[in-house]
Amino acid sequence: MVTEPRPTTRSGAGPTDAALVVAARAGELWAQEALYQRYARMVLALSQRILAGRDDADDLSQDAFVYAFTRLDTLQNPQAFHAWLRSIVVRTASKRLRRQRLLTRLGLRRNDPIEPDTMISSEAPVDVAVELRHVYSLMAKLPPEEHVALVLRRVEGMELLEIADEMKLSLATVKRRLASAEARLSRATTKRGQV
Amino acid sequence: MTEPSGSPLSKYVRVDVSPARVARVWAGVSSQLERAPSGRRRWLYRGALATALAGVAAFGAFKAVSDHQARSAWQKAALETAGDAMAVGLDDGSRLELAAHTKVRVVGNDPQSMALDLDHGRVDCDITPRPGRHFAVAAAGVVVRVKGTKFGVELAPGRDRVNVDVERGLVEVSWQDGAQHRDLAAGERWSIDLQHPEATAPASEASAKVAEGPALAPAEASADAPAGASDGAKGSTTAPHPPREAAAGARELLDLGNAARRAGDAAGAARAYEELLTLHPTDGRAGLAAFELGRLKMDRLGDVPGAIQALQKAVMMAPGAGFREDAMARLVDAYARKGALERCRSARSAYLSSYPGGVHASAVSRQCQGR
Repeated sequence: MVTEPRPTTRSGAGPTDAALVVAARAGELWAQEALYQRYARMVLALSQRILAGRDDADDLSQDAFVYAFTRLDTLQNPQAFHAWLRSIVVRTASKRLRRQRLLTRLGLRRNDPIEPDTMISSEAPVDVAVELRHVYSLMAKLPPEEHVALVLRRVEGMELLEIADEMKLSLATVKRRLASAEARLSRATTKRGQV
Repeated sequence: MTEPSGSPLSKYVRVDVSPARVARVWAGVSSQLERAPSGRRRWLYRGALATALAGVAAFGAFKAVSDHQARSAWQKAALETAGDAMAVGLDDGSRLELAAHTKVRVVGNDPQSMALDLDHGRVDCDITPRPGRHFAVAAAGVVVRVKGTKFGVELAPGRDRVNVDVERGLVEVSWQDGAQHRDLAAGERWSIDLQHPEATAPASEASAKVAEGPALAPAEASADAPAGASDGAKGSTTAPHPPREAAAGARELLDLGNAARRAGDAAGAARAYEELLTLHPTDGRAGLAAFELGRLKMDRLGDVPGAIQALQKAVMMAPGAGFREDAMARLVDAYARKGALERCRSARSAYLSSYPGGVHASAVSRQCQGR
């Protein structure tokens, strides 16, 4: 798994996450802002990769930080803030996708198609670009949990156990969801190949 | 299961983590955190998932897969809360907030109208005005039709009283099968005793009858009316709210635009931002509204000239704002898309001289390359 570069303070030796979490729990606003500044890029980037939409990603990032800051007292190991925050982003994304899916099916929300080409960097090698295009083209058709699991596996390059941990699911459930998503991906890829 | 290819693909997914964007999201986070101590918002958002689950549970026919079938199923739907409140954002940017222990049935939902029937509890509706579309909430035969924006309807637990309060805009309330009706404006609260509906003040007479008092006794604000209704409402059907902002202010319009944008209603969001710019051009939020308007026109509405106009305003209105760099870069892109190469080059120079090491510098440098 490759994670975002671990953000640090400008000096490279700022307060630890644990120190900031303890201060933030005590109501220190500067500590909340410091944690935000440290992890905003990671959260925004992860949100964009999961949701494949800029506006939605802003809202998801905002909701994730608000959730985290209002529940800091439930974080047992303050030094684990980074992993805990990632997990919040992932689970909030699943909830958001489920809700969007419901509203779309009820006719209360438009389902804007994902445009994979806008998501792929111009520096991506051809095979990578093709794979990303396949993955993001399939997203709108996948159930939310499969969607998230597939992004974590294919795009984030995470191990199954890591995915289970971040999604707060059992390993068996993750395997089942990924198997289903991969099967759909394979069918979609074959179909496109035939066309 | 197929193994993913060797290296993670994440580094090849285009993401925008510019300082302007980071600052914009922080503004939203800190604003929500300021409101967090009340706890109300927290349980509203926590209720959002419950909304989905309650909705699914209530839709017996929700196995439908086509839009048409789903829309039909929605018409039989009910949203119900238990101990938690829940919030539902609608496609057009409107928002419903169901208090705890509330049940609302959707009795109509089509492009021309949406109708809800309040079985019990309280629903607060923040409605994005949409020409040609009607929105109504019924409660025990009392119908509240939206003419403006934000209002609440409450059916007392004994089903013997309906309370309506209007925070913004205008609604029409009718009862006795439409035989009686009246308008309620922002800041007004109205209440009806369902045991004696005939004694409730009709339409335009209400203001005068407020002074008369005793004739309206059955419909007066009573002990079970919401707090704040009683002082001015003794012996009347209407009462002023506690002081509230009656007209749509800049903050409300910005919130309205943001809500519509989040719900995917680009046109509705653009209308709210435009209204903010028209009504409150000197407000501190005008620059951000102009920037959001420019983004929407460019990315969602395909209106490049409109986007240029909005982005120019954004740049001028907020010289020190975090989004200014984004606005200037987008302006270059907008001119390029329009084919206005001279202006494009001029905007490019302006960006590069203001932000020589900016996050968009390399992309901006590549713009305006035509002859």
